[in-house]
Amino acid sequence: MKGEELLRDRTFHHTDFSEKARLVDQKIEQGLRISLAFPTLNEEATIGKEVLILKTELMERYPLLDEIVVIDSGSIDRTRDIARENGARVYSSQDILRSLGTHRGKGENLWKSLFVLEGDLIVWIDADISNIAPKFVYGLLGPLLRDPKIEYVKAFYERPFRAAGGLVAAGGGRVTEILVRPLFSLYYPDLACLVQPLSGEYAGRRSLLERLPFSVGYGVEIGHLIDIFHLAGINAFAQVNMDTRIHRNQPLTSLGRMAFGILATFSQRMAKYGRVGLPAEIGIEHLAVSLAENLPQLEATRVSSEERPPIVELEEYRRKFHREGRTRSV
Amino acid sequence: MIRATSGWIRTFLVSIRSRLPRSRGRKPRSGAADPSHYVNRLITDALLLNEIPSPTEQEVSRAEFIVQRLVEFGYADAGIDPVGNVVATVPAASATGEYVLLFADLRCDDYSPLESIARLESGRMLGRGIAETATAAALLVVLAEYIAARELQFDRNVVLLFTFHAEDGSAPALEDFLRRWNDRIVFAACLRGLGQGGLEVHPLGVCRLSVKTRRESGGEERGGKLLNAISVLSAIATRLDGVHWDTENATYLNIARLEAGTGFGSFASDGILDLEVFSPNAASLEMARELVLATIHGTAEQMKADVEVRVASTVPPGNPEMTAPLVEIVRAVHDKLRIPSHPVSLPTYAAVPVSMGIPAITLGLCRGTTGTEEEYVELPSLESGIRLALGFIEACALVSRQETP
Repeated sequence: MKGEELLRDRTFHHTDFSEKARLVDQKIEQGLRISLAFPTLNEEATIGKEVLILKTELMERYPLLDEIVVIDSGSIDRTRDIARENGARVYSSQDILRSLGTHRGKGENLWKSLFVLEGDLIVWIDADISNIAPKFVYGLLGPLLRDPKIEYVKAFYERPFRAAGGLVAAGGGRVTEILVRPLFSLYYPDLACLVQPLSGEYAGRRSLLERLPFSVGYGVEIGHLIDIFHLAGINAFAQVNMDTRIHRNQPLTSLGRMAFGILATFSQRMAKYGRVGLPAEIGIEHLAVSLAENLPQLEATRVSSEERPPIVELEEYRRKFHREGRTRSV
Repeated sequence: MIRATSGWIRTFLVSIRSRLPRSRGRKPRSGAADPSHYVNRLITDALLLNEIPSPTEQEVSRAEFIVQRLVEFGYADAGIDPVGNVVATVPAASATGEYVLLFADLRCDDYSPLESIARLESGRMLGRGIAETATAAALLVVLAEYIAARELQFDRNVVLLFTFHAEDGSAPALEDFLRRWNDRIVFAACLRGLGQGGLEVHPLGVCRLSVKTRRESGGEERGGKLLNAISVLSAIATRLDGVHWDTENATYLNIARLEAGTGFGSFASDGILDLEVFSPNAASLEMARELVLATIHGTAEQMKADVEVRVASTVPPGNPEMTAPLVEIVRAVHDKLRIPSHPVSLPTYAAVPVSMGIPAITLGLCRGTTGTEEEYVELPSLESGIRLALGFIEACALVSRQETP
């Protein structure tokens, strides 16, 4: 199984790339530009620290990044102001490619970020990491700068969650372990070798990312993995151990909706790649049952399964990024 | 600017550079002349440092973070000495055997995996350990970066030391360093994250005592009251709390900890009481210590309680005459930076070099607060903190020996 090669040859630790000066040299030698983007929605508690640390360390001390951008979904707190004050370029998702309308969701932000970011290498980091550190960025960039055959890099880590008494070990990754890994084990055993397929921190080459459709909601990560597997094979993947990531822990109800969105995208990919057939109609709402005064109540939540097409299919995008001399090959 | 390590330094430094990424000669982007450009670097390093667990054995995790930074900045001699101190030197412009020492403490007694993940909020940097410990150490790191990037040279060597205190409050690693460097250091400054504007006119000595008691389960009823560890320790604390130690009120006692019992339904069979006596006068400190010991034993005897008293550590009071020139230097730097000065009397590790005959002072760098509820540094005060430390180095290390302040 080729996935074992992923574990053996392309699974790294962030300290393998901690010599930041060397990464900067490699970037310059390869003539690359590198962009970092945060998709945000109401992240005022953490975004300032994230932007400040990464800008200071990876733009000022070591010029590894060329830009730090925040793509915001419509925060009602001070997320945008704080990000701007700390040195990020800030966009509202709805203002990017306005003619195409807008959807609410992380995948929408990521897809639109490809239009405003300038980099050849793109790093996406979730904005809710309490213990942000430069390793989350240089760790992801290291494999891409070292090996031109690697096109997409995933972070993995221990994910203790915050509980009343402090941090509880190994509490994270529930959706991964009870949904995604079993699905991958059944249909894509190579991808089951990814330690944390749903991690929100990853980096890739624009030349690959621009050819991917993006699920606008929870399914964006799993959609990427399956599409990249079909486009470029398991050898395009690498993964990097970031040790520990501390963030908000999601309640079970949210995880249910997340699992629904992921399963919806997975099902679409199964049909697209001919792995399984789908019935003519599948559900579009996540159904939950709760008890109110001992009476069961059905709660239906619409979970977006919208998809954006590969951005390279947009003429505006091609005009901007595929001018003569800038066309890239995959 | 950073010259090759001299042999005698190399002999005692245990280099950990073999475990660090090799520099290929590239320096980080050189810094601007204005220290204000280093404020974000200070915040970054304070945040990152504060998340590294502490205390650990010889604070090795924090020490490695610091050494990696110093090596990145170009300090060829940066390393960890045999007792765990991180040491780096800025050689003087021309050969001299005189050193000015700046040191900061890496150990955080209040570290918490959650609460020490600091955050930025409303112009403050908040988190347990961030104000006193991480800010001072990070400021010393950034100072090293500034000196290297600006290729500053002084008339005296400057030695940067990141040390750590022991659980009982003593400072054996610092003492060990000073024993080896004693004859070379002409001035020393202990960096404190908070206390900007403070002038240590009367450096305090401190005596730390720890009292333990254990009562048999069930205790002894006396006058309707069940005597347990809490009864004994609180009685001692109450008696000591009301004492006037000297006529000037310069000597005082701090009840640092009173811990006993586990909550409802349990008998507080054992407990611990930590006490600190502070005084600017050695005789008063000694007298107060004896009085505290007598009070503890007298109270315990009355209550028929067994107590175990341990003198955890003693740091002698500073010598005001010895530190007076440094007080004037700091006052002048305050004036130049328009930082209002005010006298403070705090026990700090500046007393350690003073006790060895080295003029030393505590530099309070920034504004903020520490408390059980929150600990923070005011971000606008960081820039003046950098300027203050820089001003101190310039004043102490640029002057010639004949002009000793």
